[in-house]
Amino acid sequence: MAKTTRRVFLGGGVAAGGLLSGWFGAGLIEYMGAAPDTPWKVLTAEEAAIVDRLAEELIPADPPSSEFPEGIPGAHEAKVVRYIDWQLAKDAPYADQLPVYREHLAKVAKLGAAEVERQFPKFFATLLTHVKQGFYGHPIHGGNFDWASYRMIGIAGPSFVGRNRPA
Amino acid sequence: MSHKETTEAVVIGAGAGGGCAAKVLACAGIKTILLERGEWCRTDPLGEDDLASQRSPRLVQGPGPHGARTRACHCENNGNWGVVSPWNAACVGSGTVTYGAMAWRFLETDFHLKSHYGEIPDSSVEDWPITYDDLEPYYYQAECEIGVAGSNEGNPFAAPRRQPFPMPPFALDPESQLVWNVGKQMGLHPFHAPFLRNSIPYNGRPACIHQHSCVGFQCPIDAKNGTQNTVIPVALASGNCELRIRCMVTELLVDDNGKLRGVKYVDENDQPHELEAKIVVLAAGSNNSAQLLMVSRSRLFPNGAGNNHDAVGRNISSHAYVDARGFLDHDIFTEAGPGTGTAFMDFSHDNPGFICGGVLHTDFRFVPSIFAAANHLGVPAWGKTHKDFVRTHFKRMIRVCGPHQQTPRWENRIVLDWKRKDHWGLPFLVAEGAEHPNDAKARKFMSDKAAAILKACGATSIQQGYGGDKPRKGWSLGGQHQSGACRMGTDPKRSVVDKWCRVWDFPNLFVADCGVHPNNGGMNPVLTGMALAFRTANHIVASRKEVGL
Ligand SMILES: Cc1cc2nc3c(=O)[nH]c(=O)nc-3n(C[C@H](O)[C@H](O)[C@H](O)COP(=O)(O)OP(=O)(O)OC[C@H]3O[C@@H](n4cnc5c(N)ncnc54)[C@H](O)[C@@H]3O)c2cc1C
Repeated sequence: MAKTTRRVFLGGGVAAGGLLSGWFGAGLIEYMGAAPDTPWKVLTAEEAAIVDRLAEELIPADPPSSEFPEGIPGAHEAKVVRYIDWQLAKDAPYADQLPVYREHLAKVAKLGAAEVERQFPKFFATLLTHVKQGFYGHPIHGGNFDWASYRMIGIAGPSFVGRNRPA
Repeated sequence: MSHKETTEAVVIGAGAGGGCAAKVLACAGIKTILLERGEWCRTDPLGEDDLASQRSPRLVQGPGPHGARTRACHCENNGNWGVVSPWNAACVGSGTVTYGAMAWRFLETDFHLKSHYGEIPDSSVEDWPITYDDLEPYYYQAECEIGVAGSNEGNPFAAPRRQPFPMPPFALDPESQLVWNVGKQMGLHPFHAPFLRNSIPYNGRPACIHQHSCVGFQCPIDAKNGTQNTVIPVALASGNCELRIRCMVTELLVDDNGKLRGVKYVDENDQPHELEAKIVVLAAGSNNSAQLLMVSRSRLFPNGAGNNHDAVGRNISSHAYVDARGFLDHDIFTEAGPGTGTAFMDFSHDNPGFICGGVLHTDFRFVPSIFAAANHLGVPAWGKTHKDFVRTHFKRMIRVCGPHQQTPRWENRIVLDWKRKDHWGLPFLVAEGAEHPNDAKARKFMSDKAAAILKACGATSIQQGYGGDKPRKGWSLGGQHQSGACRMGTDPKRSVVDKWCRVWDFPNLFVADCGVHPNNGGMNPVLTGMALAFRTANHIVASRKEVGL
């Protein structure tokens, strides 16, 4: 996994109603937490690999096209697995679901997403919800790397104004 | 040993109603202590975090309540127990920090539903003990002191105003403009939805900068008006109001002779305090105010303060939101938020076959995480097709929605579960009841009207949300629009407070939150809660001698 890059905000210069260019110019990538020794807080490397594989099936990357010459990231590139890992960590919002993940990941190691959905519908629903949050939600929680989904849709990320401007 | 103190007035809860009440009392020279379980809200570091906003609290609720300390309990419709936080918020300003800030005055009919529609079987529909005219000056006080932008031009259904809105309305975005034009062609009456946001610099704070994210978030430049940046600072500046945060009130102190002496609260270090006061204003929000009355048991009030007729916690209602959404063949999305400009009151009352109804309006922007999580008809929930759909359709969506005014029922109520207690030993709240059959018809009707507007706009793949054709079993605590648990009325056996929002049997105990609403209007409730709090507090000041102040 990528080592954590801690790029810095280029000022808080996105004015009210700041537009696309202004936002992406800011280059906000990751601004939470120092680089950990291991990439995962609670998942094992095997578990993370299973989540990563299933997530990419749920939200696959797109190949390059005329509109998106570099393609569009899928769940893997958007670091959805990191989002899930962070939320399952001790005292994190989904900490109580770690055992559920553990139990099911052991059983679905060799299954495709459709088969997981068929055999374990409840777990699948949880996984899908979390994967979508990790791909479409705010990057502060570890997913949506480089605002991948916002770039895909073509909207600006939040603008930094007033009290939202980082100190 | 608890620490004892004396003051003139205590206000419980620094939310919408409590903030307004504290301001009026303090500015009239009454020594007031305002007790709030939450704290001052901060935008950092959660600035515009859609996964922790008050509208989509996927991970946490931004301003709270969250964590084990403020949990309450809730009986879900299917009968399963679920531990949830009592929505709204727990901070100085409460929901007014993060709300969408729609600023409705209820309609004249809402104040006398029973006279208007007649006796409604299986319901507790009543006339209010006051009329719209009684409340009108206080609506205006709330609109000026908190700050409202709007216009009733083009809306023949609005209740009459004696004064114009303090601020002009906001300009429409392309989605609202389209719905406005099409609605007009259909013979409907579009108008500008009123907002507790600054359309122009107002009260020393700047005009709205049209953030994409607004509802669910604290405004980064303070152009959204809540009690935390208006009346509460004024109360504090008067020198007569002391705000104590992280203080949880656990009991109203009623002595053996049935006299209210003050309140008991626990500070952030879990230290108990007793605060003696000449008057107490309960403004903890509908559910929590009822809870405090019910837990305050004494010799003459064995079932809780003001609860000798088992009326506390009954008639609870909120809103059933209905909607329709569809897609245009071109993009309509704009970065400038927050959405919601055009509203219609054509379906608020006097619809065929059922009572009440509600306002319909264009809605606040969806963030991508809400859009992607929604169920879209005919679109698989995952895979390339789903991803393509989000990419190609996010900017084409149009949506019309609205809150239906629920029919109040005596049976729809809060009960306490003494077996489950929170951090402070307060029993959990449980909702009991069922939806009135009227409301299922109303939900479908409103959603059909929303769909018809979208169709006329040229939208396709229209998807309606109204919760099914059948009356819903089970009831909920009402979340953000909770109301009714301390009903205002004329009959001490069927209501909790009188027309001045004074708890029956207690000369010095008042309720100043949305809990007093006998019915909750076909629109968001906060301005009505604020207006009533202003009226009640003004009454306390005017009759201060009677309560020994
Ligand atoms: C995201 C969101 C959007 C909304 N949008 C709108 C809108 O557009 N228009 C609208 O009209 N309404 C809106 N609302 C609802 C509106 O905020 C509420 O109707 C309003 O705040 C209710 O006012 P209240 O005075 O009844 O209670 P509240 O404002 O909730 O105040 C109660 C206060 O009491 C405190 N408290 C509770 N128990 C205790 C205790 N035991 N001890 C000490 N303190 C206690 C709470 O922490 C809280 O601060 C929205 C709410 C939210 C969360």
